[in-house]
Amino acid sequence: MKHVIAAVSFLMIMSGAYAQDAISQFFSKYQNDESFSQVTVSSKMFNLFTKIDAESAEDKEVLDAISKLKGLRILAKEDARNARELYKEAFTLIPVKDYEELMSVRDKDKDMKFLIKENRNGTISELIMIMGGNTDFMVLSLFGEIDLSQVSRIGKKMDVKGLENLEKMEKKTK
Amino acid sequence: MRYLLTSLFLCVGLVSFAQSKTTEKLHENNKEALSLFFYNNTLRMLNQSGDPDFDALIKDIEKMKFLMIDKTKFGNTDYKKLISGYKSEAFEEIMTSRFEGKNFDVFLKEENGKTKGMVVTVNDSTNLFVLDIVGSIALDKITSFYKSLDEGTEIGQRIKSFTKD
Repeated sequence: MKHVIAAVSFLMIMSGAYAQDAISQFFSKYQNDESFSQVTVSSKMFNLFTKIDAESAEDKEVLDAISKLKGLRILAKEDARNARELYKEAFTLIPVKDYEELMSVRDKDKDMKFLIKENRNGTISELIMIMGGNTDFMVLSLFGEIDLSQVSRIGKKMDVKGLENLEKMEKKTK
Repeated sequence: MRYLLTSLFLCVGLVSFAQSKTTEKLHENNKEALSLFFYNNTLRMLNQSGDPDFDALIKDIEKMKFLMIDKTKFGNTDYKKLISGYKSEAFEEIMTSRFEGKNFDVFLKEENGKTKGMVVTVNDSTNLFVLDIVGSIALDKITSFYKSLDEGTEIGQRIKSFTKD
């Protein structure tokens, strides 16, 4: 019986690992391509936000939310002739069955999809945003313990290019 | 006034500060590099227009060494060795980014949960900038720090005009 449990646990872990690898595959394919802009932020940096003095209670809530994040990756391309193809490719590589679509936004020529992955306890472990327009493409992966009600403010607080798109989440979480 | 400041910089340059060994070695190997040294007060002096954002940015910087190295003599292999050097001194990479041809990397060193130093490298096809900071930059302002020092800003122009004299 112990062997069965161990085998099942191992398979479940491997399934989870493969799901994350699918996103990593996309990033790995293009992160050294200099025509792409990219940002990677580690959990250490998020953790350090707890040391910033909060100016207000609202600020403190945002900083607490940031400190629970484990990582951020952004990959983007502007003035791209193949922006629409990249948008479609992102969906083929991300295992969408493991994610729930949270929101879909159309802003002029740009389509944006927000997807989330939930843990068994109901907390959100990953937020993905994929954006494709006529000439612009972006994929963003935010992971850790995510408070959706704070996501739009996280984008403003961190001042990282690409995160401003998270402000569109404010419409959904209200 | 400028000669007085230059003299002060020369004097302090003879004293060993707690910049990283990797930065010191980089400077030794690139003696022709533009090298500037700032204390917190000197950084504040550059902020003649009283920009509160810049003051907030630098408030926890004790001192900073700035190196600008010509990339014609410093290739990608040298850059990888440089990063390995920082990591061997317990600097941890906390953020990497690339935008408009510039690679912007931030490394952090902590001791007992306290930030002891930060290194910011900005790397493009023509130059490598290294900012070796004793202290820290406000984390929510990291991405604007390089922009503040860029030549296009008032502060960047002040640095540039200072170094020309």
